[in-house]
Parts: sequence; structure tokens; C-alpha cells
Amino acid sequence: MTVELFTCFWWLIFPIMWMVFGIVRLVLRGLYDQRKLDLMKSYLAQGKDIPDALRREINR
Amino acid sequence: MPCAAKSIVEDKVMTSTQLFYSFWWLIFPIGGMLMGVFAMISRHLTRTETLRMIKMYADQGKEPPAALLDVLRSDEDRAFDRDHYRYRRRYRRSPWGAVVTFGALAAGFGYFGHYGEGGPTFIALATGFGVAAACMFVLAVIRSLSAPRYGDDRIDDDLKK
Repeated sequence: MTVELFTCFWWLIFPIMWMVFGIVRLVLRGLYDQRKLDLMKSYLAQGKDIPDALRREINR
Repeated sequence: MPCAAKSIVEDKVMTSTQLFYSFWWLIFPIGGMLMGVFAMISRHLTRTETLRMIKMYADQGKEPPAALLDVLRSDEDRAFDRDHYRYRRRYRRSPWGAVVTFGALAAGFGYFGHYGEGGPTFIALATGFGVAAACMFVLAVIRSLSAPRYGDDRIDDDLKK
């Protein structure tokens, strides 16, 4: 049964993996942005300028 | 199940060996996917660790070293905008490479489909690659006529820095 299902639907690997990739990407990006915002906040809390390298991608 | 009819062999059951024989090539796409996930995660780790170190510097009231900020900057575009970045980097400098590759594939498949044993599958592949080669050729011509060599894009920004 499993084998038959696999032979019928092996191609589903591709769309499903595509979706999984999308989700992983979103999650990683969200984590990264969160961290970056934290860092920017700590710069602001000290009353310092945020380095350009951090600011670069924020408008995207 | 209609689609299973092809793969069911004489004794009506497909053993794992036969399954492997039918689907061994899936190793390559799945391996590629795993590599992609791994690359994505390790890039994410690099970037978050860099952020953490910058935060350590910031907490101590020090200026983070330029090299650290530079790591962040050059990874910035690559990590989440990978396709775009790679596409530009690969085809912007020499769009003719793709023309040559697709053209060669079309020629090879076409020859062996027409004169060899390839049959309609090879002809179909040759047609697809031929269309791709033609499109890439048109794109390459357009790009070499219209686009500036060194324009206003991010790679050049990165190279300048």
C-alpha cells in the first residue's frame, strides 16, 4: 500500500518540499528580523546611532 | 490504482529493490533540497551569531569592528534573496554561457533522438532545451545591447565596499 502510494504520488515531494522551504525561510527570516530589531533597540536605548549595516535592509 | 499499473511487476508486488531501481534518481533532487535547507540554516546561524556579537559590543558601549558589520552586509542580500542574487551574478556577467549550455543540450538530445535510439523522449527534451536556448539568446542579445555593464545594483555596491 505504501509502495503503491509512493509510486503514484512521488511527484508530490516537490510541491510539498517547496512549501516546507517557504515556511522554513519565513521562520528564519522572522527570527533574524526579531534579533535585528532587538539589537537596534539596544543601540537606541544607549542613545547611539544605529550602524548603517543594520539599517540597510529594513525598508524591504 | 491506474497510475500504479505501470510499476506493478509480474508478482503484483513491488519490492524495495524494484522501488529503488525505479526511483534512484530521486536521490539527486532530494539531496539538493537537503543541501538547500542546510545552507539556509547555516547562513541563518552565521547571521544571528554576528548580530549577537555586535550586540555584545554594543552592550559594552564599544564600536563593533568594521569586519563584523561587513559580514552582515555581504550576507544580507544573499541569505534571503538567494535566487535573485545568484541569477544576477551568474548571468549578468556572461549571459552567453546559458545559451551555449542549452544549445549544446538541445543539439545532443536532438541528434540522438533523431539518429540514435533516443526516440520521442529525446526529441521532446531537445525541443525544450532548444526553446530555452533561443530565449536565452534573445535575452543575451537584449542585455548586451541595452544594459549597462556596471550599473546600479547591489553586487557592484558590495564590490566597491
